[in-house]
Amino acid sequence: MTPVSLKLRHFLVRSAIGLWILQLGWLAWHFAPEVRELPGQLRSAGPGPAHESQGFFDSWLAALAQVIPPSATYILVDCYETGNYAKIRYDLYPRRQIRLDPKATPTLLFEEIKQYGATYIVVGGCQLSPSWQFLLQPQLGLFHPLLATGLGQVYQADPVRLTAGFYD
Amino acid sequence: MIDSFVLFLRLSAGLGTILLVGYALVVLLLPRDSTFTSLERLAFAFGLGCLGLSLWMLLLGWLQVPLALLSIAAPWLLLVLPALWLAGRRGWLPAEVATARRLTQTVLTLGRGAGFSRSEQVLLLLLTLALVFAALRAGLYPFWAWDELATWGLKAKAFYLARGIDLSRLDAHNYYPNLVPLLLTYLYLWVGGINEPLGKLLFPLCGAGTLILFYCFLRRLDLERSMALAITLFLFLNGATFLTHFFIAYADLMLTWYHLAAAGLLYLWSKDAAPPGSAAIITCCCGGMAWSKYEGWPLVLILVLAAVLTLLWLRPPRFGSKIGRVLLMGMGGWFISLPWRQFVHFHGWEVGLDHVGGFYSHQLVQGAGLVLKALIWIPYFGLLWPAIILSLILSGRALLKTPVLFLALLVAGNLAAVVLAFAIVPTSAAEFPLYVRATVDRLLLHVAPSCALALSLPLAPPPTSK
Repeated sequence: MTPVSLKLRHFLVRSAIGLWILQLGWLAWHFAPEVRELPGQLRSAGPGPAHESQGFFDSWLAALAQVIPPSATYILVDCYETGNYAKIRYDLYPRRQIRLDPKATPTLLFEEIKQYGATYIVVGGCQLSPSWQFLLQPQLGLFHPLLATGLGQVYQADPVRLTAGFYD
Repeated sequence: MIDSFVLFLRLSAGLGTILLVGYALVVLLLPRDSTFTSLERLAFAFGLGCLGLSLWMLLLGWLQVPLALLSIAAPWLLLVLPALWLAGRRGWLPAEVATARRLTQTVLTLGRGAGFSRSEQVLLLLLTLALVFAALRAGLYPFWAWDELATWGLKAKAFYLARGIDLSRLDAHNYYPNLVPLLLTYLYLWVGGINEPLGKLLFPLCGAGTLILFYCFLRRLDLERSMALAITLFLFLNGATFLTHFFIAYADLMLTWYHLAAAGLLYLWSKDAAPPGSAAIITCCCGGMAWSKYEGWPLVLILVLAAVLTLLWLRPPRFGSKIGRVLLMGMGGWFISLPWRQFVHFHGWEVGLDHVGGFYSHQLVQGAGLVLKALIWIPYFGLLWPAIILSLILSGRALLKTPVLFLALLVAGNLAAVVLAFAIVPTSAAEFPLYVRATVDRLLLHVAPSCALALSLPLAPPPTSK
């Protein structure tokens, strides 16, 4: 190895070390909020939620678990963008989740209820179309509202009353 | 307080049995004259234990035998007891105990008893602090990351509640391999319930195992202790991706572990520096890759291809038989993952439709740009990838004349494969950048430690002339 290439190598290695130390500073800054949160978490009685905002959501899920029996199938009407379906599915398991987009037609809702024997409809935090809002009206008697507090509403459905064969 | 202590003891017993099963496999697979160090044998024990136990659970699940501690762990006694006896006879067991004690002592005293210099002590302190942070971050919080809830943790919950491999009430990429969900199930059985924080402690352990393995490989590549420690820290604390995977229950870190073990040993093997018995460990790790994640099997193929091309190019003595052995190792890995393939086939699950569509050339171009950006994006891997590529460039002619070529092919092959994976994924034009952003850091993570072995090239002392 020539002295020039040796010098170049040393220069590159030193530069890399210098940049890496700067990067370590960024990394410490990045994880600082989580580090600050740890002592409080350690002092608390047991493992808790990762984010404070989950408290409201978790209590809603706990209420859902009280209402929907473990062997039931429910239809979750929520848009994918909220990112809630995975948490709801995880927390409510072994209840079976069938996900439906709020843009879906009411016909599809009836088909899904019939096909999977779903007995509950959980409406998440998405804005519903007027047709959905109409269908879910308690006066109509199609779906029975169970839980109106929290993130969304829960309705009970009766698949036996739906005789299938729906056409738009 | 007492309850927490008892839970921690039960978890330790669960993690301990994984190591014990793995150690039994290591002892039985390695020949008597194997020159692996105690630390290496202990590091391999983790991965092999995870592989053995989870495959056994798959078999039990398939046979409809309820998953319980007795049915899972007890049969392994037939293997563990003779293995311990054999390890005792070979003098390995006392060496392993001494190494574990020395390692603990070194960490607790920051290397004072082991003659660490001041700079080595700083490196060890940083490593330890980051590991403690990861362990606390894992062990104090329930699942919160997306795939914990959507895939791996959900399946673990399903398996635990059903005491079997029952995916009838969920649809969450059911064809994905189940190494991680089954390991979480196993730990849940030990702690007596679905305890997400305790289950997640598997991952800091896996991460620590990865770092130990990486350090051991660097030492085998002639790096001094201080340099090996520094590069290990450089790998660990570069960007947030690697550290984050130490405290989330994703399958990616397990795949990373198996890839590092297989690639590191293959690199040593291509340099004729692998200890006897390496082929068996490589085979198991290839199986572990395919059983960790859907992406595992393509990674095995790239690994085998890189080794075969290196042998074809360098033409060492008996290169034909060496190629045959590499192919056998890959096939062995395929054979180990065969039970899961058969299980998927048996249930008629469609495989990979959400990841493999046609070939979309515009995605190839766009994906290549996004991958290049990810390589230099500080929050992902910091300076790691530029340093890896620079190290390969600095190796000069050795790149084409020595087994360094294997590392170069590994880096190039895996980066090309990541770009190709983005070219065949069926997504809309609007979703494509989001899809890349959600996956590219993990795809790079799988191979990052293996490729980071290239960092040893400019830092290893030059070979002494005979």
